[in-house]
Amino acid sequence: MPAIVFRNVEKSYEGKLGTFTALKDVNLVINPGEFVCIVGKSGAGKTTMTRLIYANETPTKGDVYFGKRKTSDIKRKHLPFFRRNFGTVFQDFKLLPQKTVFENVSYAMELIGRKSEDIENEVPKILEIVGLKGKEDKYPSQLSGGEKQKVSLARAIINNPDVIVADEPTGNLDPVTSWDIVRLLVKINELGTTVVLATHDKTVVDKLRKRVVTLDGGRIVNDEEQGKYIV
Amino acid sequence: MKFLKLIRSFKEGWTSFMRNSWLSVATIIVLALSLYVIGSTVFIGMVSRELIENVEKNVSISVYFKPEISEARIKEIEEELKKNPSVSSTEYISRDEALEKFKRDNEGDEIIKEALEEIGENPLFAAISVHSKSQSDYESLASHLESSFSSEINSVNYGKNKEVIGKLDRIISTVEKTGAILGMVFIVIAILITFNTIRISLFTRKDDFEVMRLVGASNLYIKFPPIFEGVLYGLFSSLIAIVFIGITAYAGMSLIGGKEIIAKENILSFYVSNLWIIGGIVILSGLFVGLISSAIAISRYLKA
Repeated sequence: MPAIVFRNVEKSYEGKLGTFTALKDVNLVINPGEFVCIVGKSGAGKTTMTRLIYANETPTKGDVYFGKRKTSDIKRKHLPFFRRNFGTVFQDFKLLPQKTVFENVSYAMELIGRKSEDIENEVPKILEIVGLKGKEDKYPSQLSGGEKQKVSLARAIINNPDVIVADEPTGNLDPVTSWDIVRLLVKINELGTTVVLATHDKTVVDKLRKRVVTLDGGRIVNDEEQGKYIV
Repeated sequence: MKFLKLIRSFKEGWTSFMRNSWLSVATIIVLALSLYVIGSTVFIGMVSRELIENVEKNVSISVYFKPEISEARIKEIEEELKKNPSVSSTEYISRDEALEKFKRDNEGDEIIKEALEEIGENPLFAAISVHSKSQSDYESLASHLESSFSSEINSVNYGKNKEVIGKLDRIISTVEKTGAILGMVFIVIAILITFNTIRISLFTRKDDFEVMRLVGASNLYIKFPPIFEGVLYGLFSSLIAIVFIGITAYAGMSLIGGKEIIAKENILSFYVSNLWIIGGIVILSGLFVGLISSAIAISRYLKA
């Protein structure tokens, strides 16, 4: 399983009001199987960092590596295949509204060409693990926020990716449901998957006692094993 | 595996087509209207061409003989004409037969009846009606008749017929050319309108395409279902247009009282017997427009 490496990474955006630097001088190594919390205030650069990991953005300066692959060298047409190494979970769930719960999860298997029998076997199992048994035929509009996030998580893990990148997955959820989701992430990590959790949820971070990388103004200001939320 | 993904793309396209039913209906109606115009233009062109071919088949040269030429001599000339390789058939109409036909054709017309009574004698000439094997032979046949029998012939009326047929031919050629241009214009309009309608449909789903890319779907896997949807729009629109052109043909037939105006068929039968051409053009146009519109629309979203 590959490591994620940030080497002298800077990410800037050109806008009408000038250049905005989201990340500066970022050097970071995330080893395979680690659980890393990326914390910071809103605008600190957490989301930018997660986007750089699964190559939704490329750095303005420096390089991001996934194993030996430099993300900025990946051609546009190869990006979808690169992204299959990752399972992504977002604050706004990003479910397909015209597909049922089952179809949203099975879509991830269909697009890589998995057989229909495997899909029929595995999707119900994953839905049971995340606590959505009986909701297979519901549409996202019929689910609560917590349930939607569980669908998103199920879709993220169904293909056993190397890395789960979760960007503010508990942002729209209540504390109890938030902890449900985070507990699932911990379980997945215990099975060997690398988890990168970007969050500004202090309660979750402090409870987890995992590695905490703190961002402030686009720079890493703290990197602590079994860290706490200090911003 | 590629075949499996292709099948899944078709299934996805079909599911999306059914689940977006209102938008699908709107797109189909718009496209069906354009295909209706295109199909009707083709149909009208075919009917016009068939009409003129029927008229041309009934063209004949009528040779009118001077009153002093005997019936025996006229029949001799008729036999000579029958030996001409360009002639397919001849018909001798005596002066009496011509008068009877004239009276029948103008029955009820008091002025003509009074005029005939005034004249007292039969003013009409004996004639031979000559049918040629080919349209192109009429000109030379008319010239041959005029030069060979000039002392016995009063007149040859091909010139007038030729003018009428020539005019009709020109009108129909203009109709066909106009129809072709209109057809092309409507295909462009159909593509633009369908493209716009599909683009609106895809716009409402643009977030979905972003999600699909994030989850790892390739561009092709994302493109195929909307393209297949476009093909479905084209197919269903074509079928609707074909039915409505048939209904229009039936309505046209009802308007003229179901009379035979094209060969031995009426308009609806003509439509049905040529359905494979008209239907083929409409279906191909529909599939082309649906496919091109959706392919362009989805490509623009995936480039962004």
